[in-house]
Order: sequence, then structure tokens, then C-alpha cells
Amino acid sequence: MGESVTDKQLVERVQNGDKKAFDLLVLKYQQRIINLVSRFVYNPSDAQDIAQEAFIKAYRALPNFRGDSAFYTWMYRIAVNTAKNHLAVKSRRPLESAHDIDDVEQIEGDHTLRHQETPEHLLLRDEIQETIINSIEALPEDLKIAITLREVEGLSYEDIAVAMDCPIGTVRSRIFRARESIDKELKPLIEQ
Amino acid sequence: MNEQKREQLSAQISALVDDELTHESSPVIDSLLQDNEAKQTWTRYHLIGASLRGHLPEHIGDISTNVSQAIASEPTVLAPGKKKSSDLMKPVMGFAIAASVAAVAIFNVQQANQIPGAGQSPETGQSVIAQSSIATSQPSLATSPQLVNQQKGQAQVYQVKNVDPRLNRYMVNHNEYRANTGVSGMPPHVRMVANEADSNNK
Repeated sequence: MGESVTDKQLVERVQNGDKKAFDLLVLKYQQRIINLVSRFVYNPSDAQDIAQEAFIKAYRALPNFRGDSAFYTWMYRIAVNTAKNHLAVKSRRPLESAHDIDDVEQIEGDHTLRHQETPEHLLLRDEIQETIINSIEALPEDLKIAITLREVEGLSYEDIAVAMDCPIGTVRSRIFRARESIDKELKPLIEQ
Repeated sequence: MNEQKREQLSAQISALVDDELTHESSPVIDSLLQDNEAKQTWTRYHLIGASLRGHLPEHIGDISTNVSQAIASEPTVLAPGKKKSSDLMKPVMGFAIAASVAAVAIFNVQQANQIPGAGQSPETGQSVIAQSSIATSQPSLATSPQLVNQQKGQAQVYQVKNVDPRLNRYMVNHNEYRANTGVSGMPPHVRMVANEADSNNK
């Protein structure tokens, strides 16, 4: 994962005393960090508490963050260490105790290891995923390809422009229109 | 904010989410920090990406409010300012300037002593020291050094003006040290005096 210019700018703002800029980093990474922590703890509520603690620790440690690694890489380590400390305190084994930190990253998107998902939580996640997938399916082909290449394949606008044989501005517009269309369906669901 | 501006901002947020707004990101970040609706758009766009990449947790909750409240009571973090390169170079620059000044001074005086007629004005026959930043910038000396012209075996003493007394002391010390250690260099002042005495005896 490459270093995000936006993350760097937000980190610099926080380091210059702008606390609100940290909110944007939390909003960006909270689901991913909660998902990561949930590999270590069974209880979804614990996962949220640990993720919250990890973000607060990260905020306190930000003056010492020199940007040698990407913000998420740094945040990732803090979250894993916080989860491990939590387990040590509770004297419980993590869900995947045999896994190293690096292995956890590889299984980050793997849902097979989850055992204690409550029906309510599953319903919400499934509903969100279903809404997003249905919205993408309903998109015109060029928008569908553009958003998929960006979000799933992780291609840059430049690479997508080459792949789709169109200007970068068109790629930017297509990805926005795709997101806008998905967001129209997602927004009422989130705001319920 | 009207509909058109809102859509324009959302388009910029979309590019910012993809890290493709490097040149114009700062005002968009400002908008995100001030406009709650823009912030929600930022959140949902990232949620879409997390969903498509399989990063959604089992319990989709928003911890940002709690984190924000906890941080509000924390002292504001301020990263220590990075040292400017000029600050780091200051000691080195000081040493370099001192060494350069000393080297120029030694060279000038050596030239004046070792090369016959060197430091002597061709027209007037007066001895001069090559103009250096030190010599020209310092006030006149109360006790000026003397240069001895040994040409044709005849000792001639010239008054040299505008030489820093510290430089003069340094040169004397330097010559004495060189003479004591037997290292060849500029002839010590004692030798010059002896030469002058010999010339007078003749």
C-alpha cells in the first residue's frame, strides 16, 4: 500500500494543532481498523472499544510520527498492539493466536473466521453490501468498470485511463458519478 | 450551498478519497472540516470502498464521535519543528570560515616573505600585504608588523599597516611553534633579526 498524500496532509494538520483533521482519518479508517481488531477479539463491542483506544493512542503518539511509513501502516501496528495488550490483560487467547501480525493483514478481508456475529450486525452489514452491489450492477458499463478498477483493483486514475482508453478527467468523472449513484441508495440506509 | 456547488464539492471529495487531488486538496480538506454534510459524504465514500474490498467489520459502528470527544480533552499535539539545514550547517560553516581566513592569512604572509620582491609595490618599492577581507576591514594597528626585504643582502624594514593584531599574534605564535618543531615554514622572526644584525655588521 502506497503512502497517501491526503493522509500525509491530514497528519501534518494534526501535528500543527488541528484536532479536527484527525476526525477525517478516523472516519476513513475506522471500519478497517475495527475489522482488523475483530480478528483478535470475539466481542464486536470489544473490537470497537479497542479500535477507539488505538485511535486515541495514535493521536497521542502523532508528534513522534515522522512519516517514515504510511499512516495506515503505523495505525495498523498500534491497533494490533492495543488488541494484544487487551488480550494480555484479559488473559485470553486471540482468535488467530498462531498468526503473526503480517499474517493478520492477509486475512483482513476473510470472513470465515468469524464465529460470533449477531444476526442484527450481519443484517446491517449484509444490507449495506447488498445495496452497494445492486447499485453497481445497475450502473452503466463504463461507470461500473471505472469504479471496479479503482475500488477493487486499486488502479490509479492514470492506469484506468489507459485501460479504458479515455482521458483522466473522464475517469475522474465516471468514478464520481458511480459513487454518487451508489451513495443515493446508501445514504438512507446509513441515516436510519 | 446550492446544488451545483454541493455536487462540485462531492466530485472533489471523490477525487480526494482516491488520493488524486494533490494540487487542490487543501481547500477541499478545509470544506470537509467545516461542512458536516461534506464529512458524511467522505465517510460514505470510504464505506463504499471498504465494502467492495471486503474490509467491513461485522459490526458497522461509528467510533469517530467517541474518539473526537476523548481527543477534545487531550492536550493539542504539536510535532517538534524540524531543524533547518542552515541551523545544522552553522557549526560547520563557522569552522570553515575560520579555517579559510587562517589559510588566506598564512598564504599571504608566506608569499610576502618567501618570494623576493613579493608584496612590494613595483613603483614605489614599498611593501604591501595583499588586500584581504580581514586586512581591509580592520582598523589601523597601533603596532604594525615589519616585513624584512632580504633582496641583495640588504635588510630593509617596511612598515605594514592595517593588519589585525590578533592575526599578528597568531603568526608569531605559529612561527615559533614551527621553528621549535623543526618543520620548515616561514622563517621565524628571530632569524630575521639575526639577518638584520649580520647585514649591519658587514
